[in-house]
Amino acid sequence: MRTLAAILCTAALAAPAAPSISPEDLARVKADEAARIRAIERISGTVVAIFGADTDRGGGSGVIFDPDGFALTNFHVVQASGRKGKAGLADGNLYDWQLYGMDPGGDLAVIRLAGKQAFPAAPLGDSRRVRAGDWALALGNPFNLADDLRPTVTLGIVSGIERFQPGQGSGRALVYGNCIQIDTSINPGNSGGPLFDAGGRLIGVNGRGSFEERGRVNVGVGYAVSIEQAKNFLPDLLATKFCQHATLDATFRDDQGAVICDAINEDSAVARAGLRLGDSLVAFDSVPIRAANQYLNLVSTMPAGWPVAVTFRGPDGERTAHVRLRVLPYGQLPRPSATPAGKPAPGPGEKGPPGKKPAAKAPAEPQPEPGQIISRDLNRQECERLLRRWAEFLGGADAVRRAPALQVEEEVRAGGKAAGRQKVLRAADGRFRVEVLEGYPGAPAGAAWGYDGKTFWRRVPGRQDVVLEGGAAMTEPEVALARALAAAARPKPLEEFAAVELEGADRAGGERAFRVRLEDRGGAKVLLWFSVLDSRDRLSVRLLKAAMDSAQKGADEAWLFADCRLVAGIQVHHCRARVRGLAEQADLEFAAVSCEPVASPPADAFRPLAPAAPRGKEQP
Amino acid sequence: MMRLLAVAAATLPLAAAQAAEQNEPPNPFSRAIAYAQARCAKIYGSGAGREAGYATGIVVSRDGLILTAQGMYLSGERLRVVLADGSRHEARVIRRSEKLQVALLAIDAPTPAWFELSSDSPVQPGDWVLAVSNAFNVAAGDEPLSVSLGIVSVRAEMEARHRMQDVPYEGDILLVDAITSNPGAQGGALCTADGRLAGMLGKLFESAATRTRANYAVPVEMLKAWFAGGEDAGATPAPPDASGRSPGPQKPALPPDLGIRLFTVSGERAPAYVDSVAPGSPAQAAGVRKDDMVLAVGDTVVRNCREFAEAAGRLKPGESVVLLIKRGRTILSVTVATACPPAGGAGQAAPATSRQEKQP
Repeated sequence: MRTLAAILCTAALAAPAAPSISPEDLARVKADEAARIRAIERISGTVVAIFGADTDRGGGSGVIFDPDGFALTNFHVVQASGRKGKAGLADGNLYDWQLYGMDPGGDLAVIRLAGKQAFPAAPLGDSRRVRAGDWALALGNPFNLADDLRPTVTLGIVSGIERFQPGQGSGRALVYGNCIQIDTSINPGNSGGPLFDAGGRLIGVNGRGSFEERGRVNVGVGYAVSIEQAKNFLPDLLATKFCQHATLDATFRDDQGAVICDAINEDSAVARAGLRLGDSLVAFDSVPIRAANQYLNLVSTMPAGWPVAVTFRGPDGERTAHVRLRVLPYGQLPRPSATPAGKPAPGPGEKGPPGKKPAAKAPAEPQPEPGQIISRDLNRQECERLLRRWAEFLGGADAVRRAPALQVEEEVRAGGKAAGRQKVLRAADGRFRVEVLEGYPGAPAGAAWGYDGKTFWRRVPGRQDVVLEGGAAMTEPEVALARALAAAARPKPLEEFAAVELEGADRAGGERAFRVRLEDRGGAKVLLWFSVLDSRDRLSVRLLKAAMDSAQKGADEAWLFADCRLVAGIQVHHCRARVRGLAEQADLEFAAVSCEPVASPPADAFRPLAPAAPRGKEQP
Repeated sequence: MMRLLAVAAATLPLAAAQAAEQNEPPNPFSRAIAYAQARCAKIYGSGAGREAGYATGIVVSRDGLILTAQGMYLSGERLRVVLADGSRHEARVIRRSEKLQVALLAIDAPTPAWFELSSDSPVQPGDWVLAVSNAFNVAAGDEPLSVSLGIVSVRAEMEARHRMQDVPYEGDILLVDAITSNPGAQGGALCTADGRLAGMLGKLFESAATRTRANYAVPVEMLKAWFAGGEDAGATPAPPDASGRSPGPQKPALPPDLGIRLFTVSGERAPAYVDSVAPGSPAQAAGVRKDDMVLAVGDTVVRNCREFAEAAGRLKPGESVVLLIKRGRTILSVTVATACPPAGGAGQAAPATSRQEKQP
């Protein structure tokens, strides 16, 4: 090693003449550099320096992804700093933050900053498109260097994708699955901070390094939780849940090119769907599986309860089952300390330098259990925020004024084939009336039904009329859903319901979704699914699905909504489908062929056609 | 580095076309990375204490020859190689170099993707390099090896003085600013940004005093020389030709004798003072005298006797060379027209050190 030093001193002697560069190449280099600087300027404001309640104690980093102040960070950062603290932004200000949800198994947490109308937010990228060799920018607060709170920038490349880093920490619960490996410098304090691509899009959350033998400093091998995983867990995290990861309740191993089931819980959904010991896994979540590790990689990034398609091959051939993933049991779980301890907990990754002084003890808060909602209040606020965003998406508060009702003509398809036509009048307050023009399965031509705000009625030629009033009307699924959808879009949606809950992460119509449970004052319980992102990874709250609440959580019968188009300044779903099962198999599809606003629908438009039906109890 | 930018720029049109589709900036390294990953192998042997039982290797022929770094992991009974396609093979050590701390392995399987070993270094200080390795054993089976980016910081010389150095390595190294001194990385490939092999990540050396590690690679031309059976070669398989097949041994043309004998009593590291000039030699004809100090041979700066010998050893018979000479307080340049070497004479240039290789 002495020679190394000597060499470095004499190296200048042997320096070759500087090679020349063409003006075009130089211009290209300078343009790239300028683009990078612009990207860094754009995203610096989104990076958070996270401290505990006592700012003397270094915590970690985070990144704001929603202008309402929501930031992603590592679980092991909030584990050390407690449930509340201070957050520094590049504007030089400190903001208060509080913990929303946490995912000890995936090392993620969401906190919310307060004190600003609109925070700068980082655009989300797509980590499935990341490739080895891509530029990777890490921003954060390593070693607490940023006295002015402006983040430190390090640049490197992606070293590997789809990496699996096995369980760490107590209970080995903390797994980095399908994560991004980088050579970008990651040091203590970078934890929870963002990893950006060259265009300044968020592709991951830096959290771990291969530190086993060189102390807790960068060795050129760091890992970031992929942004895809963070997206999967966002609804759970925003619901303030203690997140749980998923399992099929079956394990697999590689065997001569096949991925063989070598253990299975006979009581699991996938066993009931037909998977047996020795069967081979062909595809998981529509991804062809070629190695057991690959399956493990995928499933470890999914929240418990997610529906997935599993294709396997047994003695009877190949089949695909749709099942909800089960809860992966934690071992001894790490918990966030309600009060910051004097010593930073030596987490599985790394944190800021040791605290200078212990913080004052605050009264202990009850410890959440896995799967639980940590804060009912925050969960309720989040429901309101979701519904408000949806109302904004639909067209804002005065949308109802612009179009109190819509007249829609729908083409009906059954089993993929054109089957019939119907005319629907739908009011913004939940009243509706359907007239079948051409019959389809379950609805002969001439049939009609509707809801006028009090009464549900149905008339089928040749059969006795059905009339349901009051509470009985509201148990009719079509009425309950129409009322819930109408109420959810009103300016103060929470006041419309007896109870609301953001249940957390689910999927609907093949998309990541928030699942919200609404309980009508009449007692009807409805589930609504809202999107998390749009197709370009921007935050977007759209209605995806609706169903009556049941233990099946929409797997029995549900309605899917799609194809939003503007009609008189309102977003109207031009396609809806009645679906069954986790596979969301559509048995009836309704496509709007025309849609017109109706300025003032007559009050009797929602009543049954004359002659007035005799009122009475339901007689099928 | 600028050369490489130009190379990267040359490959841009294709990448740009793909990128335009997705509106993404191109990744200028992806081709080189894929090329190198296909030509590296994961190696598993026996671990010992803190030393990892795994490493990386470079495929250097189409018939299963793999270069890797020396290490305890090679000493176990079983040695396994996993190629880029995930196939597993038993391997055996063919020979080892103490000087370069490298080893040559063989597997009984064809290896259609292999690296060409170049006789010239494709990199200079400042050039971008990609290090491809299985650091920390992150990749298993057919999972691609890890890649990190850096530049060549300097080309430097390591001198092995036994019992005085932490490092038994002897010869030039490429120091890089990427962190490569990680367990499992040794034996990995150091490539240019367009995928040419520049060196092999060397055995992990750690200073006992400071615990610092050198991030370095064995230059490709030194690997080539050793592989070709030149310097400190034993009975060796011949190097592959351009087609990847091993040709018969070949003797390089001997360099010309300038007729200069240096004052080497102070060792190879002493400045290149002329001790004597052979009568009738090209050097005498050019006017070189005793006590002149040679500063440069052609464009190559020579700081000591050893570097002079190396530079002179690269001359070709019949070639003229300008020597830069310090005589007293003046600096002169003299042109030496070389003669063809006498039959059988190795001349003055670069007597090959003939340390015997340990045979497995």
